[in-house]
Amino acid sequence: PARAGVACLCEWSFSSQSWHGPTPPYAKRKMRRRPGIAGIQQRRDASVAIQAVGEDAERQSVEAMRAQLLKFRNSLEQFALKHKSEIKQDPGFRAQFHAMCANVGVDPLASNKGFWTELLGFGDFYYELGVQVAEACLATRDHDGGLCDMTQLMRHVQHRRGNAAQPISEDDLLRAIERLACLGGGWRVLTIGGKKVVRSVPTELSTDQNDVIRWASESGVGSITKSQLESTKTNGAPGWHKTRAQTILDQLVKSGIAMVDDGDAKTGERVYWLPCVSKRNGC
Amino acid sequence: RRGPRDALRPRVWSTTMSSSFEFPEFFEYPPYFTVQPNPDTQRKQTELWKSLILGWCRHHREFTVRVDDESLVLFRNDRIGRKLPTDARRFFLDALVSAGAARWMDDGAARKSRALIFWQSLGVWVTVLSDWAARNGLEGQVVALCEITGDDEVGVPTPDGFRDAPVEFVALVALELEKKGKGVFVPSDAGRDAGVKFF
Repeated sequence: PARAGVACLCEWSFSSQSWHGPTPPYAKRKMRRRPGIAGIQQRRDASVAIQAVGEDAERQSVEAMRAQLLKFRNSLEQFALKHKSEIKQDPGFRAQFHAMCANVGVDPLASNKGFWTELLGFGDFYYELGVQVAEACLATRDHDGGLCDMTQLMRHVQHRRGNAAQPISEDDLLRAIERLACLGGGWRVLTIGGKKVVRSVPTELSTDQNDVIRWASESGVGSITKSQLESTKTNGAPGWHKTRAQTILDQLVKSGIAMVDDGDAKTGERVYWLPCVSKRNGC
Repeated sequence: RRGPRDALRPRVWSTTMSSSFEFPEFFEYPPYFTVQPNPDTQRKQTELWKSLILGWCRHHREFTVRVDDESLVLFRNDRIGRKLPTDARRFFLDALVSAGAARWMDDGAARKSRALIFWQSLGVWVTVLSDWAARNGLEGQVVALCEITGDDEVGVPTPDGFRDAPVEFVALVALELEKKGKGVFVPSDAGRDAGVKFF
């Protein structure tokens, strides 16, 4: 269905699915945008050519990068061999080593077999730590509903490990938790009110619930009352409706994240405590 | 030796008795002084209070806990301004009773104001008593309960832990001893105090 003028000048080639036509003299000059369907084809050819050049350049730089990374990886292995005992014994050094590995795309914990785990015993170390973390969180689950403050967790894990064990850092805990997360069960490290909280249950916190925990944390003591949630007086006070406040507080108690306290003689009001953000939470 | 008037005087333990009791971590956290509505949390809380009551009584060699005794430091932490309300005390003591580690000592156990605490199991108490009888050659004799608690002059020292124990407590141990076939509980009658005859 081409226009009559074009049809008599060009031929449709079924093999290349394009028009071929006699090359008018003016096309022998430098390539320039041509009108019509031939022009489209020409532009298509040009972009393919440019792409080919670009791909080639990219391939070369990728090769160069691969070679560089391989060099890094070898240096890293030499480094690990040389500093093996420091990596095992010094948590700070170990954390920096992990960062170095991450920079060159090496994951020493990627599998339980292989160079890294055999050389450094990382697999066993982080596996054992993961078990200790899981046990600690399980032990406090009836107390904090599955949300455990990172500092508390560190204390519990160190207590389980005993004094003779290798020292560990928060970085180590985070890596162990990362591995636990692969097993399912909802393991995640949340940040609430600027503090790290380890979640060991699959329940997601709603925005309101998250906010309540955060405000309890910001209060400094890790507790909150319904009045505080309803309040509009101070800066940043949420000013919630009382039904909303009560609903969220009840939800938190139901999921075991909050505990109730009717012993506040000063206010006579029920106080809700959040063990996951209380400094001294009785555990 | 404590006479009848001594019951009104506070007990003074000798300095060799023990170091001061170390309260567990949960005692510093206010919500633990309110019975929790969440069942899992409540279960854990009950276990914690049961352990504390037993441990505290064991440390102080205390046999009875009075629910209405406001001076009892076991149920109050003035530093955080919290104390366990009376119904909560009954709740946790009930749990101890269900576990066989305590018994209500009221008429018909209806009022539930005083509980006898077995900070050692009844079986262990029976063993202590029967071993003491064997060591001191008291088989075949009737020993008055007050002799066991050191309230009366006896030529032998009292069995470990029984000194100044309430009479009802010793009676319960004696009854258990009888159940185990190691002796017979001899109830009191005119002119004679209750006692135990060891086999």
